[in-house]
Amino acid sequence: MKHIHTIEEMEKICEQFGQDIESEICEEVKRSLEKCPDCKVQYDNIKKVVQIYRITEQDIEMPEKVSKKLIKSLNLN
Amino acid sequence: MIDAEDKVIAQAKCGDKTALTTLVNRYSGKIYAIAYKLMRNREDAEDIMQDSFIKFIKNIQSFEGRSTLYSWLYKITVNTAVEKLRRKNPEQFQIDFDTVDYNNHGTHPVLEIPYYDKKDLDNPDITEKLNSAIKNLNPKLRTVFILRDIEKLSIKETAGILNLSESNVKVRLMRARMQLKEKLIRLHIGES
Repeated sequence: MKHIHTIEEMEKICEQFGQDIESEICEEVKRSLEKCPDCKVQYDNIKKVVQIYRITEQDIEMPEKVSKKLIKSLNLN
Repeated sequence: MIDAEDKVIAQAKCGDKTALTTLVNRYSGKIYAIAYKLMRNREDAEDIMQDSFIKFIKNIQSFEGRSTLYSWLYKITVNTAVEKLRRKNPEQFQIDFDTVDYNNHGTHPVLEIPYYDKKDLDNPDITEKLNSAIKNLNPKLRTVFILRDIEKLSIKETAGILNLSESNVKVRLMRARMQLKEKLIRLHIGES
């Protein structure tokens, strides 16, 4: 049976996510979600989204030629 | 006691090209990286970096040291990127994400995003799809997601840089995360 998420539930979860995702307050929300398996899946999904992008969004390296081009364009030496 | 950075800044404020070069070389890599994350392509990232350093050099005399030089430059870069995104996507900036739409949440199946291990995330096919998902996120949402969740700035810092209220940042962050979650679920079940 599909679980119907009320806006209040979703807002509560995601409002708390405005905090640091691994903060104590989020952990408290997580514990409270143990009582609702579908809400727990929603929580875990959003946490996974953040984790996946933190892994894949590693700092990109600037090519050497771009660095040289920048210095030249700024008329520096 | 004036530390090394302050000394270089003081020289740069006097127009010393060697000092300016030192500062540009010191921060250009990080500035390029944040510009790329926001713009999602190398050409735009280069443009943003260059424009940001032009503003940086032009305005360095007004830098008062109330934040670190890098924070100041970072803010210039993010705002330069947002300006460009706004010019490129004016219609997307018309969309209001700052009020909660109480009618836009209905019944939906609860599907689980699979666990991706390091090997999966090194797969170019998967990373391209993940990149595409974030690239297609509305720039107003993408900017908040990148600053808050990827760059790990606080809500207050994100709000300060983007000139938004903290509650607007939270609402946009919620929407960004929810939209990415939906995109990742569709990716998992094979929908485009």
